[in-house]
Amino acid sequence: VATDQNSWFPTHKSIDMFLTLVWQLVVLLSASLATLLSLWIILHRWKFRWGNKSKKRVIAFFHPYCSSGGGGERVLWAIIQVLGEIDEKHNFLKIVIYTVEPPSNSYTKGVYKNDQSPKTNLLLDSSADSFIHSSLLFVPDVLEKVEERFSLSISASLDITFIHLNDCAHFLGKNILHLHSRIHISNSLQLTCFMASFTSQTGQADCRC
Amino acid sequence: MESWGTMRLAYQALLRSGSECPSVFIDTTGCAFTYLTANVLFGCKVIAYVHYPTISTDMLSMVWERRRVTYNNQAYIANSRITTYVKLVYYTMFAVAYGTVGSLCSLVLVNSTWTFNHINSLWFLAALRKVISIVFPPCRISSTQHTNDGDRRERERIVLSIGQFRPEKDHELQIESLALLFEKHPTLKGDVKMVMVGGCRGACDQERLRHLQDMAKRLDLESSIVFCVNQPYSVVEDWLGKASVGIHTMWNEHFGIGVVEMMSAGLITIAHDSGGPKSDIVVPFKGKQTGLLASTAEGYADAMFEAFTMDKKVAFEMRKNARLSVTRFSDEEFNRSFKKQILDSGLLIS
Repeated sequence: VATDQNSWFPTHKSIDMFLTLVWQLVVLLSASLATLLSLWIILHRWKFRWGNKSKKRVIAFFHPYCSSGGGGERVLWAIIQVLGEIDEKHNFLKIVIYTVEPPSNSYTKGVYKNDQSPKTNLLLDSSADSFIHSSLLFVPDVLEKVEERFSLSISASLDITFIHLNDCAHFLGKNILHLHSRIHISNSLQLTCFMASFTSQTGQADCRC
Repeated sequence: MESWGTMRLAYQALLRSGSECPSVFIDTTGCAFTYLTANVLFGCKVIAYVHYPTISTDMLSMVWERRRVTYNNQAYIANSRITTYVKLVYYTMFAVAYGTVGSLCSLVLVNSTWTFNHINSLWFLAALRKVISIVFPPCRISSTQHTNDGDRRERERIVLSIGQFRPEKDHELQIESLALLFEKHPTLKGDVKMVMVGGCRGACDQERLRHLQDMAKRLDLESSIVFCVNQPYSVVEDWLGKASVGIHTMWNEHFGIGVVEMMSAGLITIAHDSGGPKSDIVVPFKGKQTGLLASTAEGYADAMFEAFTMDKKVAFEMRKNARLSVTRFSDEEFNRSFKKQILDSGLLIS
């Protein structure tokens, strides 16, 4: 017994205690992180859902390359055409398209101001000073372009705004931009898709247009 | 990394909506990981229109079986057991993550039966909630549609191929099939031509085109194949009006807009016996044949021979049925189906 007590080597009991302590710490830390994350998500959602001042129902489209001329773009405008038809009677929808690529060269940069009426198709956000050069005014020529290219006529009364993400293109990474360069087509053929694949190899597989 | 990139981009995009946070987030680009941002962080309802799954069970089984070297599996990867296992583990993990984020959708619309089957098995929770439906994509039907007279008139003995010069389009199989057709029926040489219309978007595609031209030269088909590269759509329409047979060789194409265009132009279309063409497009119309299916060079050669030697009355019937059958892929049909789905879902009002 005396030998056991004087040994420098930890006993089974002390190892167990140490491991239990480590385990408890890991559990505590994980629980705290999960709680903090959940709280952050709830607060984040609450901020945007309850802070929503729009009188219309906002329908957003995530379409980084809305002018590539591909089949994916055709689907985008075909869906907007349907929404335009639904909106014609009650005028309750607002379309927002997030794009990296400007929908046409004639687009002008927009400014966010509180006093602008919704008819100007600008997003109303006084706190968005940093986005002054990032939003784009909707001008009717894009509808002409869509009609010419896809033979789709979209209701002119539909409220459409583009949000230009030109300064965020780097988030997509070079592979997606490379993919974009592949699908940025001339008028020779229709493509059926736009895809953000997860590797460059699968990107090749995915671009089955 | 790219998925992470799309998530960050979507986050920035939604942040910029400021006080007009979207109620509904619609994705038509296949960026599934953006659903996590839109739904979890911003509380948006998500609608997805899926052209094809980012990862499919076919891809997983192909890696596992390592049976063929494809455009997605370079030779050294396919031949290495370790890289195969690593790739398989990575793909499986990605498939689980993809299935989880996909299940966040409130409404999922897919473009074909093939895509439906894959998405239904991958986005398991969305499948359980029965929110996945097929809505065929809007295709350019009216501009290429011909009349009954167009079906009856004499067309040139041209086999038309439409598609970018990408590896998955398998243009080699088309050239092999033509060579085999001439080998089996030498009298057709000089009489039948193949026209390959497509786009080249970079050095890789150019290199592939050169390889195809060399292949045609090697097989003594130089005078029988015309390469029509990066031409405007009017040229495609011109060929669609002149050719009598259309060929499509891509394995497991998710839908096949090119096949629809050829059928709507009244061509006797020979499509690959897989994917969307097999399950949705080249299917009987009112019990009558609308085209031919093949998967091997021999099959394509036989189908081409059948198409060129077919009785005129039978050919007319097939062209007419093909033309009429593809009207279900028109803009009007898409409009009607999508409107029904979105109104039934109640996402625009709730």
